[in-house]
Amino acid sequence: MATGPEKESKTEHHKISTEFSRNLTLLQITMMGVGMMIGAGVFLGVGNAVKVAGPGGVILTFALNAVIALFTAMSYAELSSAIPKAGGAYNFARIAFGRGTSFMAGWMEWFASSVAGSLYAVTFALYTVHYLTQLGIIQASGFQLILVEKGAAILIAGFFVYINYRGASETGTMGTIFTLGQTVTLAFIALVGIATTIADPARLANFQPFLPNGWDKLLITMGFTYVAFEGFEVIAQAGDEAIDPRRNLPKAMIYSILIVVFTYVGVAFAAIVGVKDVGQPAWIWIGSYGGKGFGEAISQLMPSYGSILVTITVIFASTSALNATIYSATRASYALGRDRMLPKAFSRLHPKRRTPYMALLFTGGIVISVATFLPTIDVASSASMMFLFLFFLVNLCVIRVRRQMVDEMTYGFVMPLFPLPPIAAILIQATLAVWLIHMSPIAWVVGPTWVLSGIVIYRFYSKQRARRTEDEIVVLKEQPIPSKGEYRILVSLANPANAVPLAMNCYKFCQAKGDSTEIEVINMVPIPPQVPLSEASKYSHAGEEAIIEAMLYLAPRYKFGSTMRYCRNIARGIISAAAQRKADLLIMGWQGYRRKGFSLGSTVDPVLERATCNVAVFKDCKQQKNMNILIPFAGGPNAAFALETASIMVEQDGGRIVVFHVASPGKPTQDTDVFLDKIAPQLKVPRSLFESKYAISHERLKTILEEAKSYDLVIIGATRDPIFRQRVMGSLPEILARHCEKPLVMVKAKHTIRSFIKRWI
Amino acid sequence: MDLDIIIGIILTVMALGAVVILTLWSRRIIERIHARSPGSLREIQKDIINGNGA
Repeated sequence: MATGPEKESKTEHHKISTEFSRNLTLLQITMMGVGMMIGAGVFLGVGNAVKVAGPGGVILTFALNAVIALFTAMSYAELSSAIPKAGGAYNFARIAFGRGTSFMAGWMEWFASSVAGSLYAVTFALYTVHYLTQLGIIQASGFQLILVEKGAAILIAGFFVYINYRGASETGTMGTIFTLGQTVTLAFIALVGIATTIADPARLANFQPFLPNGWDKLLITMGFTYVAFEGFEVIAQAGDEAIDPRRNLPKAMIYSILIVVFTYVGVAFAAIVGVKDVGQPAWIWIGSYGGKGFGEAISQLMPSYGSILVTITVIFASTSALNATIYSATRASYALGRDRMLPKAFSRLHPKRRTPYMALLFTGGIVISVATFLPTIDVASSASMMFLFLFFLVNLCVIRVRRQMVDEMTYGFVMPLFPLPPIAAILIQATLAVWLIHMSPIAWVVGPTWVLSGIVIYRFYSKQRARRTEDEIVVLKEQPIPSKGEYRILVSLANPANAVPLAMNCYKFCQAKGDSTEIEVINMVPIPPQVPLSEASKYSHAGEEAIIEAMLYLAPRYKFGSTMRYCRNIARGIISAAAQRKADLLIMGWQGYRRKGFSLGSTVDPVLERATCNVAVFKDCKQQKNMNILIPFAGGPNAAFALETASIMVEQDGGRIVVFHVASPGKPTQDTDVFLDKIAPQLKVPRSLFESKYAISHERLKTILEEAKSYDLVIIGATRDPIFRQRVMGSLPEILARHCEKPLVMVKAKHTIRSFIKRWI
Repeated sequence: MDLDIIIGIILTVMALGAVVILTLWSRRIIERIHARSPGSLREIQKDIINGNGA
């Protein structure tokens, strides 16, 4: 019997490690930042900035703002590389100045993101309603038109509050594609502007007078459009999910500024030169349309498709940014509630959806109220002002952290020319914030009121109740990936009920591959985007149970590791784990249920298509012995692996494996014996275990299902069809898997390059 | 061409140039730190910022 210390040592040896699912690439996090920035600033900013600063002023506004934003981005980049953890300014302020300043950072971040959300909702409404008015679908003017626009803003904001309540969010890949699409479209508009100018140089006259209202107006427009450079906060929030965060977070922040500044300057130039023969100076004409000026100018530049192009770009840009800001704002208020700096209701999670519904409710209230009651210019100015305050604080943080924690932080980036960039940013941001009073006195009421109310709340409420959470900040270490053994199997477990059957089947593979086989059992804990991954431990109980079940079965004989991964999307988490662990085989279970729109399920479908290793999906495989195994054969790329799997699963004493081919009448049958003669000698079972069987039928599915009734197990290769085609047309292996009443294994052999490309796109 | 336009063009080019130069400079620092594995600020300053590194 094991003594106390021995027992403890064994438990320690098989301790379940936890880690975040790091699957966001440099491209994805860069595009997250670019998406947030392009969301509204440029569409509303061009028209309003031209009106105040003139045609040259708008170009200078974006170019000079980019330098200031880059200084702040470098501060964010340095702090994020040292503290690569979700939380952004809230975490930085806590480390640099302590709890009070940290509360103010979270408090401002909540409001800044919420007001930015209002701005995106308003932008969506302005451009969509304007386009529908041009088409004659909406016939309203004056106050009636304002009501329609406000109604549309409320509807779209309400819709995305609901989407966030459901816990859904666009995937990293889709978000990247949308943002790339927006950026390419805007780059195209810029190129059309340049080409038009080369063809008709007289359009450059639109730049005269260059600054009709004087240089000082630049300070107003720079402050007003600063919200168009606020994307690095969302990149900092990806600290828990980015691959190689110390390297990729700073790069993404700096690259995103580089991308948007050239985009903004390019489209602003295109808007100015796009206007011709309007009977008044171009800048006055564009400015007369206010926020809609950019769309009108591009319609002039590209008369046949400019309007629809801009409207579609605005719809994609503003909705994806609106979604992102709502969950970012919700997460900020949730964190304040979790740390008891706001009432506990803010940290309440929906029991089923796991989303912080109370924090979301308050955030939705701010987004909708600001969008409803404030004019567009005041919304944009308020959003800019809150971000100016927030970035002011972050620039102070970077100076403080550098001075006080020289040896305590591990940096992936240190900014050049320190301390000049943060000091310059602080001074200029303070000036821009002050000058905003000329654009929107209301913003100077709303912003400081929010900050003052935060100070009062902290002084009289949060200070006494705040939870000591310094220990949370220390969790910065990543789990090391163990060295690669001879053959590595990754077993993805979902629940305790299927742990033992999967472990049993995994054991058979281990026996076939030898004693040096390494097994890693992994459990994915999905967390909605609104909840920080660091909160995931609340949901790990079932996963721990499942891992212990598998551990008891497998650990005594083979090298065994176990990990719980906190992820946003189970499939993406499994795929990235298989790639990071360099797994040779991924084993997972499937209960036979599927969601509408999927062949086998929202997890199994993408894993089968994108995993870069061999995959075996087990359905109802609980029996110990498989005497008769059926392999439906069509000569696909997974047939050899199906045969190998069958040779591992079959009971060698008296078992048999039947390779079954069904041909359509009049079509030649495939010679399975030739295939067997080629593959079977490479397997560790006698050739005599394999048999060939043929049938001719119009109804292949029905024939195979009928044949399967007399077998213990069916093993089938997954289709090569892409997911979209499977969902639309259906494919035989997946339909068979759904309808087969016998235990079934669906296998996919690794196709590294194809899977890698699919994973990337 | 009036003075405003000339100053405006110069400022725009300088601003865009500064963004490009700072981006490339930052990228170079990130790659250098990564090549030596991330370290404390004092080590990085000694190795890279002060020019003792490659």
